[in-house]
Amino acid sequence: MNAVFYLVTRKAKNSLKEFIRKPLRLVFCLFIICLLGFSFYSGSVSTPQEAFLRDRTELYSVIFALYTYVFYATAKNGFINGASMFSMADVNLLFTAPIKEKSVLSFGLFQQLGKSLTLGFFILYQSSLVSNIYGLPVSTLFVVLIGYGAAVFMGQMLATVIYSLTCSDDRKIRLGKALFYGVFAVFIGILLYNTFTSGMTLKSLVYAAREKIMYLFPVSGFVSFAVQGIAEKDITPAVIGVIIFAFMCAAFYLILSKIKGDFYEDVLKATQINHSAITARKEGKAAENAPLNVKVGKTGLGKGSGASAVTYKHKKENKRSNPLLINPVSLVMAGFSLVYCLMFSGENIALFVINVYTMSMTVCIGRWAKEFTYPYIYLIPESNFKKLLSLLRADLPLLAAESVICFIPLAALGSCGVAEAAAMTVARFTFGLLFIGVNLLLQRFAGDSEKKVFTVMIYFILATVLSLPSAGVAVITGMLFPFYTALSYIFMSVTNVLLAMLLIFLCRNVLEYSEYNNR
Amino acid sequence: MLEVKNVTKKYGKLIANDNISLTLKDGEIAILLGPNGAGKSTLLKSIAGLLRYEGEITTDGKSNKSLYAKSILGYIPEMPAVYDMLTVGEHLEFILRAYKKKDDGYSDELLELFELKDKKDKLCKELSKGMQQKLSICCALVHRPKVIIFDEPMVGLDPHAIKKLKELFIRLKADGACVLISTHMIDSVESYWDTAYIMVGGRLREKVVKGQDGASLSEVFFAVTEGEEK
Repeated sequence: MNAVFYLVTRKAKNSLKEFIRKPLRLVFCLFIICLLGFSFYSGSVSTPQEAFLRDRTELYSVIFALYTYVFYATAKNGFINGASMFSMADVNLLFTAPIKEKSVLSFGLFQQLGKSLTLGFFILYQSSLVSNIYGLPVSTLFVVLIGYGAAVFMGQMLATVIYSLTCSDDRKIRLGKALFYGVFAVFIGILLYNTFTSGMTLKSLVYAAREKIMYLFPVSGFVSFAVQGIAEKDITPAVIGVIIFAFMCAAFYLILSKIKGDFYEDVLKATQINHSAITARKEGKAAENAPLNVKVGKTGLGKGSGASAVTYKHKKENKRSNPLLINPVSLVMAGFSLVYCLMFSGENIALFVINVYTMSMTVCIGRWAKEFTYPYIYLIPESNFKKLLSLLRADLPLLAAESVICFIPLAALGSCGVAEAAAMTVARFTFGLLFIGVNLLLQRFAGDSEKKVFTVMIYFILATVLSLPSAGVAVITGMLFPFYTALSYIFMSVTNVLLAMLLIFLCRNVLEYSEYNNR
Repeated sequence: MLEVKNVTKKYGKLIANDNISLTLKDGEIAILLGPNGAGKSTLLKSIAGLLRYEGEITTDGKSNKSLYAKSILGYIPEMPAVYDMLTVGEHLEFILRAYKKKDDGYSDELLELFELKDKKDKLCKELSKGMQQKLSICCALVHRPKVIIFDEPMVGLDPHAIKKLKELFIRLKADGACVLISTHMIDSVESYWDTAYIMVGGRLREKVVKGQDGASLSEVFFAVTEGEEK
C-alpha cells in the first residue's frame, strides 16, 4: 500500500475508533446532530407565504460578502506567513521521505479541502433563514457550504502561491500587495459606483453586488454566482463557476509544483505557527492573538500595587495586542447590527438575542481567563478575592465599550428610541458580567478538566440556564408594561447583576482551588 | 558522505547561513555548536531539504533534494511532531512504507532501546513530549539511513534515554553512517565526537578536529564565541 494512502486511511480509521471510545465526544456529536436535525426539520416543515418572503438577492449578496471576506482574509496571509495545508508531522516525516513532491502536494490539497468544508459547518444551521425568510429548500445550505469550502480552499492556495512567489523579497511583496489590493479596490470601486448611481440605499448595494460584472470578482464572485445558479436552477453560471474554479486550482497547482518546483519552504513558517498554536491550546494556554508588528508605545505599567498590578498589566497587554481595544468579534457584531437594523428595522429583540449569544462565546476568551494559565496570579501575596476582582477589572471597560458600539447605532438609525438603545446596552453589559460569573463557576468546578469539549458543553448549558431568570423577568415586565420595552431590559439587567454578583461571590476562592497545570 | 558547499540561506535581508561549507565522511560524528540564533537549525533544515538555499548540498554524491538522497537521510527535528491519530507502531510502519523498506525487526529493536515497546499500540497524542522525541528518533532511524542529522536530540529526554542515545551514536558510527548533531550540551558530546563546527552569526567560525590540539571542546567553543562577542 502506498505510504500516503496508508497515512490517510490509518488516520481516518483511528480517529473513528477514538471517537467511539470517548462517550462524551459521542454525546456532544449526537447533540450537534440533533440540533442540526431539528434545524433542518423546522426549516423543511414550514411553508412560508410567498408574499412574506424577502428578496433572495439579499441572501446571495450576503453569501458573496461572506465568501469575499473569507477568501481575502485567508489569501492576504500570503504576504506574512503564507498558508499551510500540512501539519508539523507532515513536515518532519513526509517532506523528508523519498516521496515525490507532487504526491505530497496532492495529499496536502486533499487534506485542506476537507478542513475547508469543516470550517463552514455553521452554515448548515441557517435552515430557518433560507427556508422561512427566503423560501429556498434547506438543501441549498449544502451548496452554500461547498461554496464556502471552495472560497477558503482557494484563499489558502493563493496565500501559498503568493508566499512562494514573493519569497520574503520586499520589492516583490510590495508589487504583490499592489496587485492584490488593486484588484480588490477596483471591484469595490465598481460596487460602490453602481450603488451610488442607483440611489445609495442598502437595496441598491445589494443589487450592485449581483451585477454581472461582479462575476469577475476573483473567487468570491464566480463561486457565489455558481451557488446562486444552482439554488435558482440556472445551469449556465453554475457550470462556468465550476470551470473557472477548476482552472484556477490547476493554475495554482502548476505554479507550486512546476514553476517553483520546491514548495516545502513556503509552507514551513505557516506550519510552525499553526503547530505552536495547537501545542499552546493542548497545554491549556490560549494563544495570544497579537498583531505581527506590535507597537510597544509607552513602556512600564505606571500604576498598580499588589493585586491591582494585574489590572494594569492587563490594560497594557490589551492595548498592545489590540490597539483598537475592542474585540474584533464585537466590531463585526456592531457592523452586523447596522446592516440588520437597516434590513429588519424594528426587530430589535432578535438582534439583542443574537448579540448576547455571540458575546457568550467571546467573554471566555478575554484576558482575565488567560491569566489562570500563568503562575503569577497564584503567587501574588494578596487575598484571593482581591486578586480575582483585579483580574476582572481591566476587562469591564472593554465590555462596556463593546456594548455601546453594538447598540447605540440603533438609536442613531432610528431603529429604536434612545432610552431603549441605552437599556439594551446596559443589558448586554450585564450579560457579559453574568457570563464571566459562569466562567468562574466552571473554573471553580471543572478548571482542571482535560475534557475541553465537555467543559465547553457545560459552559453553554450553564450560560443558557442562568440566563433564564433574567429572560423570564423581561418577559413578565414586557407583559405588564407592553409599551415600555426599555423597562424590560432594565429589569433584565438588575437580575443579571444580582446573579453575576452572587456567582462571583460564591467563586471568591476560585484561585485557592484552581490548579496551575501546565499540561 | 555529506557535503555542504558554499551554502547561503537568506530570509529577506537576514543572512541565516553565510557561505557554509563542511564535509562529513562515512563513519564520522560531527558536532554543530553555536549560540542561539547562530543558524544551526537553518543549516540542518537546508540539509534535510526543507529550505531553499544558494550553494550545493549532496549526500552520497547526489543532490539532497533527489529521492535517492532523501532515502538515505534521517532527520530528527528540534520540535518533535508526530501524528496524533497514529499509534507508535503505525508511525514506524508508515516510515517503512514511505521509504519502501521491509521490516527486518529493527523497528522493534529501536522501540526496545527507547523503552517504547509497551507503547506500540498507543496513540501518539497520549505520549509525553519526551516519548514523542524518542519516537521521532526511532522514525528517523528505522529505515537505516546513511546520513543522520540530529537537531538538539537530547532536549526533553530523560538521563536513561540520553545514555541510550549516546550508545546509538557510537553504533551508527561503527556501522559507517555519518552523523551531524546540533547541540548546546557540549559536555555530553565530549566522549564520541570526531569533528566539531562552531557557528556564530550565520558563519562557520571554527572547525575543530578531535585530538588536533590540547584544548577541550568547551574551551575552544568559549574562546571562539566569547572572542566574537568582544
